[in-house]
Amino acid sequence: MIIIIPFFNSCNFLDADDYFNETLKEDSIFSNKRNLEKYLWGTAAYFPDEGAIFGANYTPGPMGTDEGFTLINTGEFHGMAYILGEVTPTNLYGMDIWPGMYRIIRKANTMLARMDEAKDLTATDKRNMLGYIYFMRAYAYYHLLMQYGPVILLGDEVLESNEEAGYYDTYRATYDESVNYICDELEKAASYLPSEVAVNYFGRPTRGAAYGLIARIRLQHASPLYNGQEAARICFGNWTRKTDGVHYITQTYDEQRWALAAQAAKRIIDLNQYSLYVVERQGDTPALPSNVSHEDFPNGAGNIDPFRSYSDMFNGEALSARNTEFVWGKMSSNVLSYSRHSFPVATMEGYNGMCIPQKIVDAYYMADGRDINNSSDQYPYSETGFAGGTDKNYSGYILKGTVHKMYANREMRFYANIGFSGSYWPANSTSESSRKNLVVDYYYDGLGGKANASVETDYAITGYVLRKYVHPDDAWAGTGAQRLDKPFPIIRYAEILLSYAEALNNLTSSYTLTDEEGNQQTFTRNIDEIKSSFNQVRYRAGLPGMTDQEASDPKKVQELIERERMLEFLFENRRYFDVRRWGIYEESENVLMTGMDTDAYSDSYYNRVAVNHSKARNRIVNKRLIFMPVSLEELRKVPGIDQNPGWAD
Amino acid sequence: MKHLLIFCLMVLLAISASAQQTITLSGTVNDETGESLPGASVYLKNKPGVGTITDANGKFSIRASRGDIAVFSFIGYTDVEYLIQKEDLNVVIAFAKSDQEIDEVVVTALGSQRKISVVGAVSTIDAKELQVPATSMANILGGRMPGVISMQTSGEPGKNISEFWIRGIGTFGANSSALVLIDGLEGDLNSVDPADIENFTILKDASATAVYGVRGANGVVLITTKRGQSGKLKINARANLTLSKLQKMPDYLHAYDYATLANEARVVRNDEPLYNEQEMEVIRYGLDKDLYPDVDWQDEIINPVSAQQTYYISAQGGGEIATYFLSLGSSLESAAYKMDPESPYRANTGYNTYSYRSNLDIRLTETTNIYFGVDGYMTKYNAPGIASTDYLWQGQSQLTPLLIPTKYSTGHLPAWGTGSNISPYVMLNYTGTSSNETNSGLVTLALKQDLSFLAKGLSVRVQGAFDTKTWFDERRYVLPELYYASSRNVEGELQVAKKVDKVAAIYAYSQRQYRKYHLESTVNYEKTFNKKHRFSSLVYYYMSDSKDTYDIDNSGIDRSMAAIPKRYQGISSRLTYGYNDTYLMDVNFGYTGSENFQKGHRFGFFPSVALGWVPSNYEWMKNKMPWLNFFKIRGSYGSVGNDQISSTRFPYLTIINENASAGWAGTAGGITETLIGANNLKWEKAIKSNIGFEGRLLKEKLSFVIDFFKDQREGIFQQRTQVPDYVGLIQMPYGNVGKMKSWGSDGNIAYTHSLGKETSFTIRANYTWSQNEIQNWEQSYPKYDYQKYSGFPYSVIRGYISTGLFRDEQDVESSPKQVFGSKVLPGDIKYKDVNGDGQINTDDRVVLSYPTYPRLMYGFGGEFRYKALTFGILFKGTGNTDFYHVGYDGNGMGYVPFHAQQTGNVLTIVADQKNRWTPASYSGDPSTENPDARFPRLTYGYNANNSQLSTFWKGNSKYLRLQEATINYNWKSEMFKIMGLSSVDLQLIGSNLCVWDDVNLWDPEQAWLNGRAYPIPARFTVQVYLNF
Repeated sequence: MIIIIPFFNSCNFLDADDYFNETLKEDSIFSNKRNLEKYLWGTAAYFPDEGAIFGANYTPGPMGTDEGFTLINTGEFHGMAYILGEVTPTNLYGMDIWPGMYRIIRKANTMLARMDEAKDLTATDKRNMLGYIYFMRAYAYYHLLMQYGPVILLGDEVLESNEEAGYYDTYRATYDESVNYICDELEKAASYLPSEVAVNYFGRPTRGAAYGLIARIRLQHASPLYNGQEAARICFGNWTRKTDGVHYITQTYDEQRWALAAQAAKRIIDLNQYSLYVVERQGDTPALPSNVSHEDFPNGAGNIDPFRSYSDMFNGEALSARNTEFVWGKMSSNVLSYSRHSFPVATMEGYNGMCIPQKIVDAYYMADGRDINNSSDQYPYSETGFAGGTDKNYSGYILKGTVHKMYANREMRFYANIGFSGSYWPANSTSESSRKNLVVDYYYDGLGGKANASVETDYAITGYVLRKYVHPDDAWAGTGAQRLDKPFPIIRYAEILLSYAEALNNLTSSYTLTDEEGNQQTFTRNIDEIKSSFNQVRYRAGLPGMTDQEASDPKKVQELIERERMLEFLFENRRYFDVRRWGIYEESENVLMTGMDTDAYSDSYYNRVAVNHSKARNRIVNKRLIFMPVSLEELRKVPGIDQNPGWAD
Repeated sequence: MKHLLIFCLMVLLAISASAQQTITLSGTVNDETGESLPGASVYLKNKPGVGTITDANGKFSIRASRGDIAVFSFIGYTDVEYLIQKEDLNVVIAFAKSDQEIDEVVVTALGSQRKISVVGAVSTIDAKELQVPATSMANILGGRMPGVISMQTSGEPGKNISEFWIRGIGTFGANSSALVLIDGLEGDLNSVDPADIENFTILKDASATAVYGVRGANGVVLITTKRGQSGKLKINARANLTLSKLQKMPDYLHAYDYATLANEARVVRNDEPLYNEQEMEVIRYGLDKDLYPDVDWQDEIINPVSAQQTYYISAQGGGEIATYFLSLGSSLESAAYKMDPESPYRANTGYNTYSYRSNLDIRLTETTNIYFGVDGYMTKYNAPGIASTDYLWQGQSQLTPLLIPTKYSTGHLPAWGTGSNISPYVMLNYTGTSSNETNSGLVTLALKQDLSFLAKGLSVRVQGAFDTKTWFDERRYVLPELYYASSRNVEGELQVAKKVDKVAAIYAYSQRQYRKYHLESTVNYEKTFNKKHRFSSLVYYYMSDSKDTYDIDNSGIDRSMAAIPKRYQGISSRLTYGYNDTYLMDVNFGYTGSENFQKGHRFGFFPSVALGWVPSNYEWMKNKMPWLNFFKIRGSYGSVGNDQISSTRFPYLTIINENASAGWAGTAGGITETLIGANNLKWEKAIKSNIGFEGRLLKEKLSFVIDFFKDQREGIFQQRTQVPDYVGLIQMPYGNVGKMKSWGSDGNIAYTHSLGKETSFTIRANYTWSQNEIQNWEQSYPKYDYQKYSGFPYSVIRGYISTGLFRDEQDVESSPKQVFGSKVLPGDIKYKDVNGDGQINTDDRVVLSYPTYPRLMYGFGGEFRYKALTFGILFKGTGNTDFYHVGYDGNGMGYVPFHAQQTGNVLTIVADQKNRWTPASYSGDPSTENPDARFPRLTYGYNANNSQLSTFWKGNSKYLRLQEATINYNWKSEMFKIMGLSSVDLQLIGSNLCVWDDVNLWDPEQAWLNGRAYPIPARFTVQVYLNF
């Protein structure tokens, strides 16, 4: 017996704590600054990559709207699953960010509750950390609001982990309550956040990011769908909370919200910290059309290279961390990897999976700002014949003389954003001559055509691909093939400018508001303000500004802004939300999807045809697609919450 | 080996001792009335091992030295000692009746109790009944002991061990199996040779198992092994030879019939026939054995008869100071695989076991005893080099007679594909060898101190044990190049193409180790007042610490946690009080802890109480009902715990990952929780109640025990599913949320009758019946109520309700759409649209029946004794047990014809037209569209519509088995005396001789395996016992 007894240390026999001396315990997370910081950034890792908007995406993104289309399977391109009606409350196709966002909220609340345990945390450290914690929590709610609408507000509570079902029953806040909570929290975050971060911390939110989110939310909150206008009545008139019968989304219009939106945008403008990205005019910059102001930017485009100014932001050429236009941006591996989908298969080893419908192509202006249906003699538009003449090389972009007339004389953003049949793809980084400097065509037997697709889905069925995030050096095939890292612009200053213009445009009377610092500002529909902010975006693209006549008509201004946002923010994940808040989702989606005739050989390719694929024909338009459904499982677990309109519960 | 030496040495000592005698003492032993007493033992007190037994006339003769003391003993009498001073051939020894009444005792938790005073639900079995040549102890229990439900699913040596449950399955938590205690220590039931067993008891209710606290929730099996005894050296030897004959093998079609049906299967689905007329002729007449062979794979790989031999020897004896029991046993069992004499790897496929046991009791002082026990076993399983012999059985059910020959005439070895599509002949003969070895050893040391000098009846016992097990598996795997011939060229030469690459010799091994320390201590106090009040109390303390590399290897990501020893600690107590053996009461509690829980939640308190009443003790009852010799009513109620909560250890801990990814340009290595601990976890608890009736009547000829029980489990450990996502947990925590109840009854009855002095018989029967129902199983909310787990028995089978076969096209058109992906034709299976949504999909799956393990098990049989001959017979059976040929375990491989095109053997029953649905357009006979056919319209390959688990494929695997028939002859002969033998038992035993069942294709215990398993063989044994 005596021999055996030493095997047991009987006094704490059942205590296994000693075995965990080497492993980190829950309490140790909060016991010092170092661990707390690691926990903070570990929490940030739960946010989706904002650039994941193409495939493997967390939100419907461009494929869920009229700006993009793909044949590739819906298991990867969730936006297609959404718009084809495959998403159901039991299968959200990888876009159910609900659990992930609430994990962040729980972690944020845990940190708030326990951060004082870290004895080596100085007051400054704490302020810094609080800024990020409040921001993370608010940003998580922001994602929920955008995806699902009204949220469940938890405040600072960290709920028990293992309780009976009754303990967990709760209800959703209204849209207004959600918006106000998120904005208040973002204000709190902003008061702690630094106004800028060092280059090596690019991607971390700043005070500007918090302001930017407020501006975006306030604008959305003022918009017709959420502000008691017709769209709100049609979509949400019958949607009330089961616990108290309150409308989740207000049914009365409040014009002051536009003023709040204007104030939120103006605040960022007044920081004087941000400006649109511009590259100075160079030798190969094409001549500015005569109707565009030749003054220096921002009063004109005389001194800038519009193509480079726009394009370099996205393709990795510009130093993202120093880009003053990025109110908040980050490097995105998703953007980089999905830029491969822009390249044709085979020779260039792309996936050819990211199409642009004709509607978007047609919406881009001519170089002088005119519509394609109203082109000038100097910059004519025609749908017959080829441009002819020698290849043009401007701003580092080569436009072949062999391109179709449809693609000649267009505005710079068209060339920066769209790959069309006859586009020239330099792929400079590879040394293999057969895999670079290629003209890619999308007719049947063209390099990117159906005949060359290894799988039937790997071709651009509309005849257009997204070129936006592709750098001239980028190549996926051949010796030495490299790609530049890509940023994703989460909030661009251009958006702030256009939001400001939109907010002012919707005012009919004057509002005097007091900001957080106590300063009073008055907001009215000031034509000059609208013009100056809107026109900056226009000038940067090398286009003429809004005329006084246009500016005097609020309807016209709204129209221009809507179109401008579509073109400027192509594949930046704004359109999905914009068409909804404007209340135009059904009409904008209910348009036959067309493209070039990719089943035809080159001779009859350049014809508008309906996209001949069931995935194009079967796209659905339904009010329920305004919000993503809440997972049925969650609804069953929490009887007090309501499903979003139109979805099964 | 060491133990073998010790054993031999002792035997030698014993023999040499008996060789040194100088004088003879002989005479007669009489009882108190002067009648001679046969069977009394005589031994020399100071010479352990020297002794004899009085013969039929009470005569004895023993050789001794002057001054030796001869001891005469007989149960029920006081020992007599006789000092030998001179040679005396006519001594008369007279016994006096012992005043100590001998009570029948029952081994119960931590000791033994007088049988009359037991109030818990306890089943015992006479150790003699276990002396049958079974492949393992677990196989013996089903049908023999009330309270046991067993299931054997393979007959293959080394795998032919039954699963068993005490009173069925009571929990859906991590562990539903019983605790097996061998001499008080946790052990493996199958490691004990039945001949080592002294007592075998099953504890079933809360009162009986309470002292085991957390470990006893699923019932306890108690085994005590034989110990030494003072007296004559007793040597027992046993040898047997068993021939096993495989029976109930599936019958598959031969080539021509197979080809005919293959053509039907193709044509009725609008495909070209597989074989044209010319090929059919080649097949019919066997003209091309390469391209169109006709192989019966069972013939190629199976010897229908295989052998097992077992040997066993034990020695039992001792003297004043020490007693001992030693045993050695071995079993050599070969499997029924037929190796090709040409095979280079003639692995002796089979299973061999060796076991030893040594129990030494040493009397240190008058009041101090030391027990030293060593036991162990080794097993070795040999098999071909394939990963599992299951592949052989899959192969024979998959490879059709026409697919590949055993060997091509060109000498190439054939294969259709990889894995189980390699020919079983190749698997068996050309894949190298593999073996699994296990070694186990247990050392126990116990000290017992009688403390009667403090208080009469007080004693203390301390026991420590060290248990180790190792497993060592190795495999020498090779594979030759394998070919497939698809055609002949114009010259008629066979065109073979390589199908499987050669695998050069690979050596691989794995090992596993297990060790356990155990320490326990018991304090006992017994007292009887006024001969009427019997009181006993017991306090038991134990702690154990075990570690298993298997847990570590299989823990998924966190090995460091699995490597933490599993520990228990507990204290428990029992108080019993009996008044005049008429009113009985036991109060028990267990207070036990496990390291798996958070501080403060580690210990659980499990009390129980049991009451008994024996009305047959009343005088008036004895007078009024003389036919009732004994009657007892007992009841118990209490709780026991189960800490085997899940494979997850320390679920209260929040687990942290220090190297998680970081976002927003954060520091390298973010921190995140990977599992959120739950701080309110506790034990799974079973509230058990039991009521039992026992009686003996008709002059003790008839005895019965019947018990009714209910087991209410609460707090079954489950990973939560109903915590909403908005709570923000990284992973669902574990919680004590499950609830389940089980209830049932078990009992036995026996009747013994003497027909004269030399003839008697006993018949006996027993049953176990248990039901269960899940009361709460936390699951994500299902769409329909019938999709819930709660409200149904555990592991019920769910599937579609078949409403028969589609009659015609119109029937197909007008019925709900069946969305399984294959085109539905008349003659395919039609399902019920349960939710009425106009289509058949997974939402239409409902609970079809109970799980495949039996809920009722019974056994009956008896012995007939005539003089030295004993005939015994035992039947065992189960109640209705549903199973499914398709969808329960695979998609019907082995049962559904052509289930994977070329690999899908066809049972002979399919060839019978009345068993299958064939369209009239094919057969030309409308009557072949038989709506009651056993098989739907044939498909060559997988048919998704017909391969769903549905009532169409349901069968009933209830059976009645002639489990055993034995003839025993106890042979006594003068001739043996010369050899030192006292008697020889000769036994002939047949087991599994006959089965009555509804499956009819293969063994009902393997019903759902569709013939893809080693059958349970019939066994014929010749057994010889030598009693020295």
